[in-house]
Amino acid sequence: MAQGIKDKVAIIGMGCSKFGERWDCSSEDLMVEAFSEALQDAGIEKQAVEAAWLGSALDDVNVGNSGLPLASGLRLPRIPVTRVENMCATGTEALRAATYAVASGAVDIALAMGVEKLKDTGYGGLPLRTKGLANDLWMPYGSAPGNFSQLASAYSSRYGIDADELKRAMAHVSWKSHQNGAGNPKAHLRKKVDMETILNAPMVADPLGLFDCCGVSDGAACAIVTTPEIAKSLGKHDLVTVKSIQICASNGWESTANGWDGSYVVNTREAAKKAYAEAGISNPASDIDLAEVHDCFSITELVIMEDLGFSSPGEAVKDILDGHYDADGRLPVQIDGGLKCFGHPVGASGLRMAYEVYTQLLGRAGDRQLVTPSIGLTQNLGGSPSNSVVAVGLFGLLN
Amino acid sequence: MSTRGITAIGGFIPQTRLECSDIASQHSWALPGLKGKARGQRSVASWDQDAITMGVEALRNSGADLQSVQQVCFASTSHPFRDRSSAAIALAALALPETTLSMDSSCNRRSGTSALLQALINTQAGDSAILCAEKRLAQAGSLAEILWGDGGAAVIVGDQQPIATLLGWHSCSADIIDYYTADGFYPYPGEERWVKEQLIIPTVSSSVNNALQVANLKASDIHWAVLPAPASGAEKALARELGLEQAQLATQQVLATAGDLGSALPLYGLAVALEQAQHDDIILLSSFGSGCDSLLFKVNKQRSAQSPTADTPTSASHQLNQSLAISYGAYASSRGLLDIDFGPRAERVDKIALTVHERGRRDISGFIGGKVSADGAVQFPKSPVAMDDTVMIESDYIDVRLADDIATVVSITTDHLIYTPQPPFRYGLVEFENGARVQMEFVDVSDAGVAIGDRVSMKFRIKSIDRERGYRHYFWKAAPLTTTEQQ
Repeated sequence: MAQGIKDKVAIIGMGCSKFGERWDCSSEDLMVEAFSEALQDAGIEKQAVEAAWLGSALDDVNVGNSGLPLASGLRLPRIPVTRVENMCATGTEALRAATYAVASGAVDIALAMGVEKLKDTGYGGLPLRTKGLANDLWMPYGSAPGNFSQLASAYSSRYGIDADELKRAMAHVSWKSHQNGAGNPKAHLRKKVDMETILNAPMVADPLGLFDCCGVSDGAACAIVTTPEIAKSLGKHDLVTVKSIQICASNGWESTANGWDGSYVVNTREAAKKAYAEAGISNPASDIDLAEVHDCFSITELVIMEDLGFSSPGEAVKDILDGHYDADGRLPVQIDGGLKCFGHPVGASGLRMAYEVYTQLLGRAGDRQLVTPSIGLTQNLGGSPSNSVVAVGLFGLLN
Repeated sequence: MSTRGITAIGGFIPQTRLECSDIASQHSWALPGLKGKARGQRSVASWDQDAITMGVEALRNSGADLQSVQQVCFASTSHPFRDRSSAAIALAALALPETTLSMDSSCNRRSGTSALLQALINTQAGDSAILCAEKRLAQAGSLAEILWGDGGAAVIVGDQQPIATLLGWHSCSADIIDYYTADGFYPYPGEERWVKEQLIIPTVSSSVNNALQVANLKASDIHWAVLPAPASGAEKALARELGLEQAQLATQQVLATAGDLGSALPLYGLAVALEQAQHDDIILLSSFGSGCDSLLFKVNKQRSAQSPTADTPTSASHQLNQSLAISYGAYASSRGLLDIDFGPRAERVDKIALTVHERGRRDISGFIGGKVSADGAVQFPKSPVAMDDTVMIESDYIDVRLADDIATVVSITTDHLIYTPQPPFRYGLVEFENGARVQMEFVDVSDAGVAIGDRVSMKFRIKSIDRERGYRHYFWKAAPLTTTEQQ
């Protein structure tokens, strides 16, 4: 059995740009903004970085192919720089690569950068695909909200939950994140929104209304990782280490075979199971102090609460309405505002989530600081519920 | 004596109907005179239906076993392509062998009846399928916009126990121009009364009388008549001229609830007549367009189990009673008469790589999935390694056609964000009774919507249209079973 990477890699610096409609910024500007913060945090020179991974999901939208946008954008010292892409799990995929590189002993210090510049498309929502694929011959070309909204009807059907009650729980998910995000200076949307507004918003993809959907924005986030030993040699004391990063990708079972009822995401369950095992988490609902999950849509977050084992099957609606995942609840989820308030520059989102967990663990979160968290979770869900790539990351203070 | 005749017949009319008075109201500011001519409804093919999809559905509605079909002819004046065969596309959709002899007939509203006649008199042809359908584009505000409708019909001609046999026929070809449609132009009509009185009545009545003489019949022997109606009142005027009663006109309801179906009208009318007719009835079938075809049939309904009846969900008569409403704006936009700004999302590139199409052509067109063993899991599309394959080898599949199977809705959404020519976009996951799962678009959804657990049947439709290159790609979509179909 593999030994795993628990506590073999420490994060010594992180940076996160302001997310939003950064009309005046290029993707390079965003990367420089995030990297400058991370370098200062790490207390190293950029020449110390020995390898880097760039996470950028949508290659046609102002970032470009290969590792070159990062290598030349930051003027890195001719080191190996590799672009990775794994849909919405792209940012975490970059962090996984950098973490594994350090854990393997191949390099001492590595950089993971995620960036996306989406607001140059000229419209809201994710950019449209422009390439002819075999799937185009038969697969319906729906939108992202259309793909995820199908969780709602399947969830209602499975648990016999009234559509109005489900909609209220979904609205609470969005209400909670807007409450949290309003105080976060790096968030895109910083306005509290009342329940009535959320419930009565125009329909985007039934039953997802406008406020059930996260925004689309520009942003970058990054992490500098090394070994705990080197971190200590650099004078770091409270070390945040990687407990686990697991990725699970669909093999096509959900949309091809007949065993899935559409009400959950099997890859979240699988990735979480492996991550918990690697990190030594036996009871996620009580062992984890905060979570940043892939709230691309309110129904997604609701289902994720069960897939990660935070709520029992069929209980997420009640738990959400009871406030268990609010800022003052038993397990705060999206304490930074989540995708709901940051928007979703795809390649950056996973690292933005890690940035919040890292910030909270080090007690640097200011007004939204939680009381002494020691372990936090990030989760990304790329693709659609029926064909997904899921990343689950666990980060904690080194004992 | 040859027993050759019609062995099966089916029709297809889109469910959607536009009130002709709505069309007239839209144009009343400029064309107040249209109001007096706007009676009844016209059928409206949606953006994803064209002559090919409707012809295919018409043949499927016939319920015929297609295994013995040796020849296929696709007749229309609105073929989507000039050089891509409608018949070949239909063959693929129906999963007929590629060795089936096929041809396309066009440029004439008689193309359907002429193809039928050719099949009937060619005793060497074997079982022959004639598919005929129209989606004709009429200019906004034109009389044709009110009088025309969309739809199709299909006939199988063969030697085995026909439901109708040919007693006599007459055909004439002449460059008689009641209207014309030049490439790149809308239809241009002659004056309506002149067309009716000077062209149609003399041409058609002469042809019918000739056919009656050949068959050794009198007009009074006719029980049902299918008459052309390219101009207002032409059908009734012809009936008077021939001494027929209005009750004998098989296309009355077609014209009132769907409109003039062009080359498909005669065959659709024949389907209605055969559903209504009694054993030994005589049916007159006449079509007009650059001449006239007149055919006289004798009905054989002794094989009652195979005979078309009006009370099945797919019968031509039943389809005339369907009605899903559409606004004039949605109708006009769906066929390019109104250029709506759908926003930058509509700038999506829908180009289909021809190489990709060629690789998937057969399975995509025929909706053919596969399984790797007799009791293996059915999947669509086939993948190099099957879902239930336990060894890492390229799979060898047994074909499983899904197009004729019923499926159940597993998940569903109504997407208002993504671009589609007729929003909203409804899609979700369906599961077939054999266990296969496919993400599919839902069509023909009534106000009642679609819910998880609903049963759906497969319809051949346009999947996407590449507006920059004019290409259209066909695939299958899922339609909720109607209440009648559920029973």
